[in-house]
Amino acid sequence: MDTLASVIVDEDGRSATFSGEIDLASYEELMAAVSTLMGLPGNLECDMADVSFIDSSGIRLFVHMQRSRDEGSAVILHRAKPNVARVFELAGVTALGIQIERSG
Amino acid sequence: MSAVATTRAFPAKPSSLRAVRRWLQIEVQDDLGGDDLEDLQLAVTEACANAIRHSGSTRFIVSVDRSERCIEVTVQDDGVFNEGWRDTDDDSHRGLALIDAVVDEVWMQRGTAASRGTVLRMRKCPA
Repeated sequence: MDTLASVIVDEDGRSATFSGEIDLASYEELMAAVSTLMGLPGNLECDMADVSFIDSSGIRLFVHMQRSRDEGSAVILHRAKPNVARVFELAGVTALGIQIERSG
Repeated sequence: MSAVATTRAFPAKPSSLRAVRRWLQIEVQDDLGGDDLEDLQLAVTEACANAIRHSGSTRFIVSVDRSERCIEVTVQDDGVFNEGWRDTDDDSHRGLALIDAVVDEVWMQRGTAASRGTVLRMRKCPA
């Protein structure tokens, strides 16, 4: 079976590239993969271009990452597809500090 | 013409979610497309994830039906609706809120110890 979702974390802890379908099935694996990013200072830049689907489990992952950053730092989503950006907006997580930059 | 409802059972485990989305896409692609299809896939994923995480069932059943120009999807488990999770679990709370936001109507019947089985029915109409 092909991989549901994956994340590549940059060594400096400031960026990560996500891909695939992020849901309950991929949540635990992705949480483990981003654990090194938790609690680091500064913004976290996330490339979302290859994420095709996200649900509330995926939103929870990004909320955890945002809450672990210091005050004033943001998880910033780049190149999110419209359907993915919409889920973040509907979930109301921009109020928590997550920033969304749509593709196109 | 009203077609016969299509029904399929899935194991109550996370890996079923993608299978549900693929199946749903094939079932409704003549009726819904683009954003409407993605909305319905999100809502059904959330409903199934609740069945997987909270019902205690070993499987859940998804039915697709047509009503006038709209699609109705029912997700049914044979478990007990966990009353606590609305308050204690952000994730499930977000899931239900997302369902409300992306479909046109939602009905829910909560399974209890005396009458097991939670049913969540969602209607999506083309924009």
